[in-house]
Amino acid sequence: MTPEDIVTGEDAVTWEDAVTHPLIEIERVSKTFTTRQGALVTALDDISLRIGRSEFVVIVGPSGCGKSTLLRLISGVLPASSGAVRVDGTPVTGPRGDIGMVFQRPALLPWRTVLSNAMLAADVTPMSRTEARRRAERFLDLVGLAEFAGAYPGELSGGMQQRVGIARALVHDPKVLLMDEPFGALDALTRDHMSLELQRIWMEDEKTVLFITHSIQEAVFLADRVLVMQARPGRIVEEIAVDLPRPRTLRMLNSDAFGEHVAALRRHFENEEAMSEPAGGHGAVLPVPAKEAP
Amino acid sequence: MSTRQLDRPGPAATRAVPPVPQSRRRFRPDRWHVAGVAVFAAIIAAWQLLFPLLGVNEALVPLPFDVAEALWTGLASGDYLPDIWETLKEVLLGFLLGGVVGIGLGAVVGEFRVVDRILSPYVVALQAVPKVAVAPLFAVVLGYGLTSKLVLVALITFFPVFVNTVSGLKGSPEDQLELMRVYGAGRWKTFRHVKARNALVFVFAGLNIGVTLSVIGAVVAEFVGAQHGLGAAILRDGYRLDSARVFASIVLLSLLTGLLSSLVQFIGRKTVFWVSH
Repeated sequence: MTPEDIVTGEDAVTWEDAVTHPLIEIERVSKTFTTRQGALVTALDDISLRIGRSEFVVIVGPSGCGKSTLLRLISGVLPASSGAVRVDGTPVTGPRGDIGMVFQRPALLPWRTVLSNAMLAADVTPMSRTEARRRAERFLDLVGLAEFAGAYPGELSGGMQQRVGIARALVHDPKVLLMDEPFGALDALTRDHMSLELQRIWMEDEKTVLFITHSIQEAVFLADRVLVMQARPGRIVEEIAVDLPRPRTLRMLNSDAFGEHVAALRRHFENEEAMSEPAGGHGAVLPVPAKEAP
Repeated sequence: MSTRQLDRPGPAATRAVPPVPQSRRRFRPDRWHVAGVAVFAAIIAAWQLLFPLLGVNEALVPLPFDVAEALWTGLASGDYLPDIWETLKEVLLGFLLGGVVGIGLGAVVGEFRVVDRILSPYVVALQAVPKVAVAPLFAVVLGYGLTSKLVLVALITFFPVFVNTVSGLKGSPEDQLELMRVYGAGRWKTFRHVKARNALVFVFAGLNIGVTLSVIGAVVAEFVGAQHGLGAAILRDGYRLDSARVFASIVLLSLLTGLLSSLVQFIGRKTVFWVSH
């Protein structure tokens, strides 16, 4: 939208639309689970959130704060207890096929080749085989695995497998890419590299991304906007815009501007005992700043 | 800079070929193989040389050379062929029947909770029945021909295949299932593209147990009453106190079991190629 659009009468409505109808809309959503003992657990408590087209939003929070639950509500595999979730203006009532999902583990099908894995959409969605093949080849090329099209997942490293997972998630041209700690199982070096790759893919493909992580650094590096979540009940407690220029480089990790963003986010976790709660079971992921105090 | 290259396909890695399957690897005997053969030879030699000295009755325990001779003459003269053919027929047809029914019923029970709930008690009860104990009943009801043997073999094969198929269908990794859910894939597509594939590993484990049991089933069925078959031959030769031929039949049955089991394992490895064995 250019400013001129606002001036002309008809387009003013369109502009208004873009603002009031973001791609993902979460309105006063709560989710409660019943445990086996019959107790009610509030995983998400009155969450409201709007994500615009082509925006890269990262959610950070401790284990068990309901981050994954939020993604599952958006992807439609889990119904909300109350409130409304809308993607592209239509309410989410079930799995909808226009969502791309990347999990912590690549979840590739080991009996399929890399290309065939990337083309999974052709088998499970209405997408045509030729179209799926064309796009799968394009995205495998984009993630740097074109020459591995005929290999099996078992022959690839963890980072390469995860890149196949990203390509697969993009093949059916989803409106939204949901990523649930996609680099969480990778080693630190591969992780940095994957962040760079993801940024490159995102800048080329202009998908709307909602990304979940434990890592504050990763959040700042990738995000346009970082949302901080808190556990029990799961709530969004802060929102920080990251205005670092793109493309971001690994060198920026040491810059003052980067450090300021990290510090601003870290403040939220200082009062908590640790990022990882006993219930989460993920182990400590971040250094606890409180320990740095003399 | 170095991080950039970390995960990049390097020139060495570009030739991504599937690992060479074990069957294609050339067999190179190491010293453990040699030791194994030596131990076997020592036992046979001790048996051959010591038993006569100890005065063991040859009608009860034959000497290895006599067994080998009985085996050789039996095979060379074609004496054994009708028996081998009969047993093989019972085993293969029964195994096929039990396997197909086991996989089919296992698929339905594994996929539909309702069917599982209704059928499970019966299956568990049936499983508790020692199948070989029913052999005489089958002979009475179905006659002394091929049918009664085939049914016993099928029944005895059925259970391991069925049980493994059911648990295999329930054992798909949760993230693969969640992936299918996100795509909005229905039950049939999830079954076809994820569950059935994952179940194959279990199905072949079940088939391998089943094929071993199927030979036992065939022999027991023949014991109950049969004209031909290696089980019938064992009874026949036993009555005649021809223990060398009894042992020869046992050797043939063991070879048959080993061969069929290897065949099932071979097909399994080819089918479930993505699992490292």
